[in-house]
Amino acid sequence: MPKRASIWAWFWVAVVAIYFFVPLYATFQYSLQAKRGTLGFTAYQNVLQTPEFAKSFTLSLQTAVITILVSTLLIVPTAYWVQLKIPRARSLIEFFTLLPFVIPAVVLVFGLIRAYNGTGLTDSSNGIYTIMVGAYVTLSFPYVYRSVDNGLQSIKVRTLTEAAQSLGAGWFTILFKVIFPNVFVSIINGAFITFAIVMGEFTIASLLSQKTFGPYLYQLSSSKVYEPSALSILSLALTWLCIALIQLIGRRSGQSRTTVF
Amino acid sequence: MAGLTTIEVSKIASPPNLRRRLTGWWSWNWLGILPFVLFIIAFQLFPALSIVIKTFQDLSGHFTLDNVNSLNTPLILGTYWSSIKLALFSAVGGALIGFFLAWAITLGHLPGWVRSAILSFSGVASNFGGVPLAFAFIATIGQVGILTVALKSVGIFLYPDFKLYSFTGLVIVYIYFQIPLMVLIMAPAFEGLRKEWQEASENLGASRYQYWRYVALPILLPSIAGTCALLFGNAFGAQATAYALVGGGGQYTVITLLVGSQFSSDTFNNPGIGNALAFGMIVVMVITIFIYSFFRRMSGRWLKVGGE
Amino acid sequence: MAFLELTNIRKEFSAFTAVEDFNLKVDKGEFVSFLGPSGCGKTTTLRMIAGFEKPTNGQITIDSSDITSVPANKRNIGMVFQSYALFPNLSVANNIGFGLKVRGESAAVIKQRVSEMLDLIRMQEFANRFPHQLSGGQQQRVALARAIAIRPQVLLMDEPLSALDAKIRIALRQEIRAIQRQLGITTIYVTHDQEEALSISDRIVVMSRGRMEQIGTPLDIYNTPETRFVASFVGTLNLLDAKVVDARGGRIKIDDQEIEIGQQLLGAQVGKGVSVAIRPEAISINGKSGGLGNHLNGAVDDVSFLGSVVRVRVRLETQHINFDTFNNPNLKPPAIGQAVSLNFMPEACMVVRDE
Repeated sequence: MPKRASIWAWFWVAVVAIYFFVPLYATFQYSLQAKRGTLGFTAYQNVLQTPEFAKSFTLSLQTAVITILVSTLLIVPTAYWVQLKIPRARSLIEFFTLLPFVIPAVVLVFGLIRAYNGTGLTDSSNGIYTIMVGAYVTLSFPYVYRSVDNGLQSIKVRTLTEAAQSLGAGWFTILFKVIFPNVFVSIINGAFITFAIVMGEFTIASLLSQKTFGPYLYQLSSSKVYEPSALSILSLALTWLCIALIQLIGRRSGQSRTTVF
Repeated sequence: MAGLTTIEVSKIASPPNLRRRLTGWWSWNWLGILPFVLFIIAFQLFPALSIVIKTFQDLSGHFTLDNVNSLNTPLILGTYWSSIKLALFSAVGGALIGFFLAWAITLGHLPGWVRSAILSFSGVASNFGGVPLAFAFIATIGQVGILTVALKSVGIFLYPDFKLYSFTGLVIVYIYFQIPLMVLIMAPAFEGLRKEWQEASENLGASRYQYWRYVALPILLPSIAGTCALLFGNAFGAQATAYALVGGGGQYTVITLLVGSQFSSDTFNNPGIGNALAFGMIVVMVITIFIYSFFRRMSGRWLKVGGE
Repeated sequence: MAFLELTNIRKEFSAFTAVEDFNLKVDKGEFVSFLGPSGCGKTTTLRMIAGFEKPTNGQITIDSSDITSVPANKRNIGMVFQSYALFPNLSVANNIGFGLKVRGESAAVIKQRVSEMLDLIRMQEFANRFPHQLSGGQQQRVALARAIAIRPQVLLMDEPLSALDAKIRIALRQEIRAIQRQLGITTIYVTHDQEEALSISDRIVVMSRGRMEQIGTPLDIYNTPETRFVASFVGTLNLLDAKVVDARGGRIKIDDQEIEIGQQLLGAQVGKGVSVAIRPEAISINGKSGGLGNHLNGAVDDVSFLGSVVRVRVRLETQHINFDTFNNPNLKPPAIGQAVSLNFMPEACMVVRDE
């Protein structure tokens, strides 16, 4: 049986590669055109030195970190508990984690504002920020849960727990000395995906008038020509970095890598 | 563990049949997932439910179908239809191209690095959406995009017939994140096609065409259909990209933008209509998710076969 | 002219040679097993007959026509895979009828043949079930029916029972053999389970590292193994190191105890080391002294109860011998440490060639 590559296979790869690559190249080219007549990194310099950029980027960064912490602290014990004690709940939990797909971001924000309208949450800026973080956390659930759940599956969590218990370990020890270290890679996996999502998120942030990176990027396009492209390239590079780090860490530690779905 | 819980005691005390029925419905273990559930309720279910309820309530809180009825205008129905068309076209387009790409990298006998490169890129690209993606396409086929300019130099004028800020433009842009999603889901599905099936069919005398027609495609069909549903939902609910491209006003709009615009100004001077619009979206998404899970369950059942 | 002939078959992959010097003539209706450990080349050879691998050298003919270059889907050879490979999207009936359908047979013909096959494997009520609703054994029977439905010239089976439970395996192999006999289809059966091969084959080809070690009937293979490999792979065996004492008279020394073997050791000088194989069931404990045959003295090291057989391990000076005795509830097996005298006939010793 000849194992030569099919000509059609190369065709499809080539066509799609071109389709994927050209817009990226165009963005990059645009971003270099800030100075008339020459190609240079002026646009990058301009945008990185703007105080608004630093502010919005930092806010997004902070939001991402909070989201990751809350999400991880909610998901890991829950996933662990479900696998250990109530395996029957798994399909229910999976349904819950799929809710963000059923409720698009626009609808979610709409619902959040209308639902909490009288409660005072919507009156203060801290309250709105909390709502945004809450929304982000639920947005991250599908990815974090699936990642952690896969990780727990592969380490046969029930057997490990019973082994630890028979050796005299208490719950705290088990959770932090046995479970967490072994699903560390899954947690990191979920964390990076969450990071990429939050950093790039636009819809919720702009509808809630939060000055994070996404709305800032959009705003920039109404005033500048080349800087938005530069920022897009940076944002893309950041996402790529996250995914690359996930794969690197996953490969080095030998724990199973999870795909997005 | 501490002593017997009430359930365990009742298990011992009651006769076998009753025991079996009582067992498993409730145990205090369910409390362990309470924090998670509360969070979901607070930030997903409660908002969604409030939309649904408020859709059927008028300003004084009485039951009414007025809000739903007010959706029945050409503008609104037309917008829903635009969204559905856009989602459909980009889903089918992305699914088709993604299907062939997934086939190419799994069964096309390409060198290993091609497969890893495409899969990694797909992982990134499926998250690459919204504003940066819109900018990227503006830079490519916008009025002064580099492709537009390049084509102009060889005599092909994209404008004014083609507009990026239109249905066609959006489809082209949406496909950019639909294809990677399709590849990410279909590549494992292709790899799930066991080599023995192909060999068995060959052994029984089937040609390659017959193998694909009678065995491989039918097996893949649930995954394809389910993923199409997922892609549809993905595009239907997308807001950021559309906002960046056509959000400034103008004739073309999609339902997500319409709902979004309810925030800044009650465009229709009717607070209830926002709820109804959002409710309509939820209905579409729920149907989509049902279709998706139906197909996912079907493919899961079939692929559990075999002696290994 | 044999029905299926493999001549000088050789298969090379880039890193190693999987099969070489393979020559086999199979008569019509014969049931031949390829037996050997993993990696010995048995599956590769089978796949060459099926057409999934192309031989680097050599020729395969069926019924006098050369099929070496014929594509796999034109050979009219039925194959049963280890993992059954039933098409999950088709019902049992449609699986069985698949080969006929792709040949363009009419619906009526297909229906008739499928019904025949379902009768043959006694699964008529399962016609509309799907593979995921069947047990492993049921799936394998359907796979068999599917392969036979096309009336193949040769039937190939690649370790079809290895994924099943022991009891089902035994029942199913009898059924496979019965069906094969009834239909008279020439069959090649690959397995690593020597008990399976011994119980159902007309002839066995024992393979190791890509080469044929021995071809013969089950009786031949078991009682007269030609090489050390065959002797140790098939059945349990005692393999002892001995030194030649008298080549012409056939006497050797095991651990300073001299015994007679039933053959001459041609070309061996005194003192040369040889390997001797003795089957455990050929040995018994001598109750009375002065019995016929060879005697070896030793002490009981271990006693294993294997169900119908009790296996006793006896220590000679530097080596061990296992012997089997039937389980007899009225007779106690020897105690550990007990001194015993082992008795066996000279003919029971087989001198084996080292690899």
